[in-house]
Amino acid sequence: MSDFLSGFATALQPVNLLYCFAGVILGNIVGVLPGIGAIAAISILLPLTFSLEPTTAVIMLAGVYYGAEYGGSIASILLNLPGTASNAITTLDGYPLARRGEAGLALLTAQISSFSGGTLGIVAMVVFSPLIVSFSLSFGPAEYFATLLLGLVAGASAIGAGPLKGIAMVAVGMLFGTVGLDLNSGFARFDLGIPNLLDGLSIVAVAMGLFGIPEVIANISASQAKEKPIAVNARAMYSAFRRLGAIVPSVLRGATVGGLLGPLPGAGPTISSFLAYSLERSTSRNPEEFGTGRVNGVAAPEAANNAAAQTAFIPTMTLGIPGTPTMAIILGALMIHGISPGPQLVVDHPDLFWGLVASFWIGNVFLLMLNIPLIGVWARLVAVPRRFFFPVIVALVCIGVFGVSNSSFDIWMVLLMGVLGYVLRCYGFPPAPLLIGFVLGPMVEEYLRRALMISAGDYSYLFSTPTSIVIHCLTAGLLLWSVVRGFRTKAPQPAG
Amino acid sequence: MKTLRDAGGGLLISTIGLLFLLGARDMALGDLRNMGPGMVPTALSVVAIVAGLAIAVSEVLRGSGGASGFDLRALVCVAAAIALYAVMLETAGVFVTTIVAVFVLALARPQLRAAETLVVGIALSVFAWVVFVKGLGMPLSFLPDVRS
Amino acid sequence: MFTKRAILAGFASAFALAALPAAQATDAFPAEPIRLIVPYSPGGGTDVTARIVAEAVSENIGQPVVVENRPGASGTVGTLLASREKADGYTLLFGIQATMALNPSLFKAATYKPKEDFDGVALISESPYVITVPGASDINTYEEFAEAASERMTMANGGSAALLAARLLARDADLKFSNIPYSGSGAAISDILAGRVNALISSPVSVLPHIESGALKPVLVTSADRYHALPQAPTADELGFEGFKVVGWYSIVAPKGVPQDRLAKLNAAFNKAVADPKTSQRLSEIGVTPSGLALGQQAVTDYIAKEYDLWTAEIAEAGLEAK
Repeated sequence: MSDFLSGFATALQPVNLLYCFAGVILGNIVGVLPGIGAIAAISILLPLTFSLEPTTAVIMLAGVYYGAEYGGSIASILLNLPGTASNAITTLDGYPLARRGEAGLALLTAQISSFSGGTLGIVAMVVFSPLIVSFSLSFGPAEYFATLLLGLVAGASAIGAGPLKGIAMVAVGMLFGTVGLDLNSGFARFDLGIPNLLDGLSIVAVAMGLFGIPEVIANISASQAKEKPIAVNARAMYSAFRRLGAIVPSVLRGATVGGLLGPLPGAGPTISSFLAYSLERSTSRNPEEFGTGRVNGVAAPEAANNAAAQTAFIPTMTLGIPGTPTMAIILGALMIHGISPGPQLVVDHPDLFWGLVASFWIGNVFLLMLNIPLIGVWARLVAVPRRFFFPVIVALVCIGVFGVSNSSFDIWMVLLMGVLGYVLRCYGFPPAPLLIGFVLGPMVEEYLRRALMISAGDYSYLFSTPTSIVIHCLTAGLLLWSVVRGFRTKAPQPAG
Repeated sequence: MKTLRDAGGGLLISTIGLLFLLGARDMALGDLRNMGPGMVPTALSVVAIVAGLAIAVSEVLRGSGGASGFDLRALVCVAAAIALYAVMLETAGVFVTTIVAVFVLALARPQLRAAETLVVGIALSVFAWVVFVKGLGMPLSFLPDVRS
Repeated sequence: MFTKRAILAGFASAFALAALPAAQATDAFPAEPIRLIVPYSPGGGTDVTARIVAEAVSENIGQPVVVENRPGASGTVGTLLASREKADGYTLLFGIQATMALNPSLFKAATYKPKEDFDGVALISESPYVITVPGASDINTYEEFAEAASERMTMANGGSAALLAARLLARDADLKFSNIPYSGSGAAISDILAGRVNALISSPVSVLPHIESGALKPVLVTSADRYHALPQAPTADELGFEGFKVVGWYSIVAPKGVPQDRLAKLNAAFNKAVADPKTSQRLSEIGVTPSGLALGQQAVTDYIAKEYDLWTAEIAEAGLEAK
């Protein structure tokens, strides 16, 4: 703890403070912009940080990373456009809230939850760091497979469109996820001879196409905006603040999920947000209200992805194991400065490690102070006639997606996914299970096959540890629970 | 015809499954203990086909009425605008592409407001250029690249 | 009117050049910024290496060398793109072992032909692979390792080049690895630290901190000479596998047909940049070992051709080639 306090001395040095602010502001901006995410911004900044002190450099790059998690929720709520993949799930309840004229409440919830999630993540880093390290090391293929399976089941049952449609969309999402090189055999699956398909479909293109574009198509010809924006004034904000008491449990649950999953290589903020949302929905007394604009549906995933964004630093710094591609770049930045992340880092460079952790919290406070006043501005955007939004959305999505790999191919993918998403939407298929299947599917396959390779084809390996058994039990419980609930809700209205 | 319309959504899912099943024909299946690259896609295709057919049947029995609120004109206009970005962005630059796309999008609406659309197009292209090209360093030009 | 290339340069050097007539360019090469296509995402190891080299070369060639990331398909997209660029010396490609020697045999979609589509410009680095085992394992020497691997041993690898190195060693030394593929070294290191796999073959940089802390033990390195940061690890060659050498390498290549004088100039500039102590220090820090060979342009072309032939044959023998 005293280390943590001395970290503040480092983080509060003017130069570090300055770069921390610069980082979080930039992160916030790229988070708001669809398509372009923290990775792009960090890689552009990386060469500029060569001349900085390593602590300063990493403080800034990290600021971009978690700043993007804050900004990402804004476009999700206002435009149904997930700024980053980990904010996709926030659209489910955030966007209906905004359409109902409660954009201010939704944005406030997202910001407060992000801040609380981030803060709890930092606390976990300070207090439980060694525990978290050993927990994430204890996760092998069997545990991963169990967790991912839980995520899929939760995803298929997350949306109230009936189990069959959920299963169908998860399966289609997983099929889309199989496109590209098969890790185990090197076989190029469904690549149609197009090199761009070897790496699989771009998640940004899929998310933008499924969520943002159908919304544009469905609304573009509507005459005038029917939404009546509620004025965002002091009184409205005060009453919004008073309603925030209801989200405290959701934030705590979300932050726990995010804090635990953040350090797992490959899991990270996106999966944390999916699982937190499903957990929130399946433990709720009124699960059918989710997806219609519930603040808990915004609070849980936003708390989760921000907590995960913080705890993801633990394995990166202390084991040299980057959990996400963004973490890999930050790792690279450390190594460029001649610092090798690993077990020795906290001992050899305490000022760097604790300074960084302290700067996280300063950055989080700054993001909160930056975004709360902006809520009024953002919420007023909803009052702008919607016809001005549509060209903006299309342009931002297309140019943003182009920027992900500097290739027009991804724009075609947005087109394909947008048309498909629109047609499916007209038939009442929700896009979220498809996205969940798309993200988790390839990992489920990867870990299942890895487990079988390590155990030479022995399926009992999947149930060989207490952790994996516990998680499988949770999955079974969730399945059972949704079946029981399905019968209960069906009983009064057999027409379904 | 009505039956087919009701079944549309489920049949679409089944069709996607079928396409992937056909695509997975030449992938080695392996066996359950040592899976080949084709095992998972094949299994998922079957799930998608079966689930799609089941949905189709239940929707027909229920007489769901098929797709609701389908707007072909909006779909075509938005799709065309995105396609324009895909085709033109790299060669014609941000400005021309955005102006053309904004007008195509405007065609989706009942009446065209030409002046307003032009202003939106200009403002949007300048904004996009400043943010994405100047700020984030994307390899795009503002005006058509006449040399290459 | 700004050209695309000039605009690009503008970001790197904060000033934009007007388009220069092509005729003028032949007199004093390079007369405009040089584009270096990196077929990987910004911020990754390959990209960071390319950026360090580009920065160093910019200083001694008189024009900015601008990195352009064209990621996708394990480097295939950018490489394919570069193969179709004008051969005027103003467009170069960061060519690495995977894209120049492995991918054309592994992926049907990699339709470029490294030997016919590209000229070598300079060899940047050569880095070995290292085999490690958990610190808690009973294995301390190569002999104990070979003994353990004579039955069945799970060997994690973080990419196709490391996998092929493991296969080559398994064949030469008659070992039985169950090769477990990982995408990148993160999850692989997690699994070996926890002892879920028996061994790992990877680049040294990702395991060095764990070797220092004692969590992992090196068994051997695959380069011809011992690796500077792991002097305790023997080479395969020392252990009796004569001439065994598998290294990952980075190079600069150009689309085939660049005038000879320009190639020579580029070769000299890149060799000078890599030999510069400041640059080689920075490369070493990120785990990239400058080749130190200062190969001439033709020698680089031959080096790549030799690697290509070697791995094409190896991939065919392993039955991994695209059908």
